[in-house]
Amino acid sequence: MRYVSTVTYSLYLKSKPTVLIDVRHLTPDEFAGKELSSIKSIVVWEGGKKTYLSELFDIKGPEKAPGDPGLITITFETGSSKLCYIGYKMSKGKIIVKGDAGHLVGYKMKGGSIVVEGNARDYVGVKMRDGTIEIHGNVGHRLGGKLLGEKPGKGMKGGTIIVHGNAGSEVGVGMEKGLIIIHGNAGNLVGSDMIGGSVVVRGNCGLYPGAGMSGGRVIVGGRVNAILPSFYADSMTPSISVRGVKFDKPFMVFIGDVVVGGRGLLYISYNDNKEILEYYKSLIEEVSVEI
Amino acid sequence: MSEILIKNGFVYDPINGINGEILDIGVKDGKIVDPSQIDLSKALVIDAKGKIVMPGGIDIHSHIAGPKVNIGRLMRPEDHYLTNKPHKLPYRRAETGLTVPNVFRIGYDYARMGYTLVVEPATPPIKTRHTHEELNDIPIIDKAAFVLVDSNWLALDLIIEGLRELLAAYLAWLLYTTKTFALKLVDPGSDVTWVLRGRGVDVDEQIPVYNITPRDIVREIGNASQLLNLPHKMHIHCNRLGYPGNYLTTLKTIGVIKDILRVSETPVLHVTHVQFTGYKGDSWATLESGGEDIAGAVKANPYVTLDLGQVILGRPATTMTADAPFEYVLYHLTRWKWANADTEVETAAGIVPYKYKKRSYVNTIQWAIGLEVALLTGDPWRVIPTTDHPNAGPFKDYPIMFSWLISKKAREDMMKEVNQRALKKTTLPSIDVEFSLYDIAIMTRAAPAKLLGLDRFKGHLGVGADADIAIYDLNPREVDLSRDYEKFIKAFKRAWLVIKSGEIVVKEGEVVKTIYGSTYYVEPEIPSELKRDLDSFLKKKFKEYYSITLDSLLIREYELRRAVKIPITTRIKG
Repeated sequence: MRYVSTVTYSLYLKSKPTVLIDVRHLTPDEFAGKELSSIKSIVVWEGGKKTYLSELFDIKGPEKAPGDPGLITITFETGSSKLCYIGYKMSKGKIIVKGDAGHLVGYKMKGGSIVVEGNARDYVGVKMRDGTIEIHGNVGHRLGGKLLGEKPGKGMKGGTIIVHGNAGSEVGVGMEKGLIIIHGNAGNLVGSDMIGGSVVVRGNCGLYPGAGMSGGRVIVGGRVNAILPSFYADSMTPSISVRGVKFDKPFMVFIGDVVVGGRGLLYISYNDNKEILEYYKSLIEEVSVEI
Repeated sequence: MSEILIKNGFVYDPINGINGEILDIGVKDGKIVDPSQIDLSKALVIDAKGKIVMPGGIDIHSHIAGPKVNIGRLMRPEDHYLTNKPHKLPYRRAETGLTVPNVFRIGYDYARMGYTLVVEPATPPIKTRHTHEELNDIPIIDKAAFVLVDSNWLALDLIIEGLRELLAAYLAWLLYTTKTFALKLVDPGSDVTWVLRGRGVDVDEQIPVYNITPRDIVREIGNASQLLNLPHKMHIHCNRLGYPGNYLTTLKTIGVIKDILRVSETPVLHVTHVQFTGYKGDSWATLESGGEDIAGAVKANPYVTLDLGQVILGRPATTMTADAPFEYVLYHLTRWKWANADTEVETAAGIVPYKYKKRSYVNTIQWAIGLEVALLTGDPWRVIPTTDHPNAGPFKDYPIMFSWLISKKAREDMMKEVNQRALKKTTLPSIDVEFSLYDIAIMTRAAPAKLLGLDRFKGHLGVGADADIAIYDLNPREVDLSRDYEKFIKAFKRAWLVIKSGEIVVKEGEVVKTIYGSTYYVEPEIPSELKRDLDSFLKKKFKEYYSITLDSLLIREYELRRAVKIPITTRIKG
């Protein structure tokens, strides 16, 4: 086997940004095969103004980037919540953000991986096709979702998003495929309008998980504020395991959302939501007695 | 204002019978003058050698302003994500949107294509103040609006009472009050039925409560428009739009004109977006084209004009119409988004996003119907190509639509991509007709100007006309349009130079100056005796029906950015 070495480009912000910065061109795909001097002149948008990488960042790295983007790692040594479009349409390689990231991390991402060590803002992994995004902090709204106004199913199309902190509202809205794991809590409307894929929330979530879903799975391992009446209780299951995430406690399985004729599965932890789910349990048991 | 001399261009000016002759055009103080009057020492001389010179284009039917357009913008944020274009001050404002663009893009895109007059074809009276606010903000082009009278309770009351002259006076008052240009009928009577019964009506069905038929409404409003001697008589969107088998309804509606008493030789009835009302067959699965029948009816009735509502395949569209019952049906077909509105006693409206797909059986038939009607009628003076923007496609695609009319090869290339089963049910593959550049100039300039009754100063390049000129970089003597239709599309998408009111607004396809055009409206005179009757009628009915006072409906001239009044001598005897 031929020895392959990966190269790392480190980017340091020269000053603390005051406006949103569009870094959509700072991806391994754009860096691949370029001299350091031409990398320095890659276009970056600061607010509405066009500028270049070397104006905003100090860059350290080898003189020439390898032709294969899979061998390139880009590290944002200083993170900022103003850096938007990190990893836009990237297909290979790795991006590490040692700090916070802004909106639209991994928008339309096709492969590779992004690691954010701080928090990220809204629209993380929107419309991503494949690859991995890992966020160690919290994320904003519409994680792995679609853009506003689009049809259900125009969201995330594949890949994995792992969030170690909390997430905002509408996680996985309109997603088609793929996996979202949130180790913390999530906001309202988890997995709304989704048509496939899985969303796992280990902690609590807000109101109405799975509103308008027509396929896929939503798993809530903690408390739920409310469940929509358009879901019907199907059964109880003693434990579940979804793509490597195991829960050793009973879950109640709902099917819905019947408003859109959906066949999505909603798993709610029974022990954490006894006051809501007791009534449903009695319904399930009554039916089984009659049969 | 500077003087301009355009030299050596191939001029196409159908109203003056000029077909591609090399002529010089002089422009002075916003008007066209004889080239000999231009002072060459201070005039700007433009060499248009090897280029086409045409009058500014006129679009007779395009939903560019009004509350429904704004709701369309609100409900389609996805229309704006990838279509933004930042401003370039002081020449150009920021642009966004494709099917429901912002006001600036509407003006700029029309100007880039060489269009200088666009008509908003449907505005409910009570919301017309909003329509004018939006029209005021559309740059460059001249504008006009048609007022909706199809289910107006006041008009319906006058129709059942048989007060013909009072009806004419009321319509005249409505046109003047709302500062609009002509009368528009959308699915006559169906909005009353929609509100009361939750469905639409066919042309010979009874409208509940009023116990008249849409045929009566068309006839009476038609007669009133003749009495008023309006420049554009009646703009009608037929009943049962969008339903299979509706071509019969369209033929019946065209048949109403024999009951209308004509006062002049101008067309009596303009059937709009005829593609949507030319379906044969019993259901969506057996849909067929009624294009041949409609073309036959138009040939037989010289006082009928059409516009196409040509479908552009493969583009998103936002259907928005005052035909609310149909939008309700369409929403259940698409199952995505729907907006519905009802404006007190006047009309209703619906908005549903839609996408015309090349592989779809129904959409292919729709695409073929529009072209069949245009090609089989073969009269460019009476068939006007439109896409009913944004219902059947964005106006941006007009050059592509023209290419299908001028080139059989363009049609054949498109036919390779569409649904083949549907194509077999149409006659389009066997039609060999190809329109010429002169015909295109008629359809987009001369005919609409005549139809709107503005041909005195619009749509031609004769002395005294408004200096609205479009120059396209295409040499008609070198390029074979039926083969190289791509070159035609390229040239017409971005005009080489556009002059509006004597000022250069577009250079090589880019907007170089933002100016604002005029808004045209009519003021038919009403005899003073009749005016008294009308006043007492309006006072009584407004108290009874409307939530606003009579004075609040009146739009004053200063509310329009640049109002141009067209006074009309009517035939009402008082």
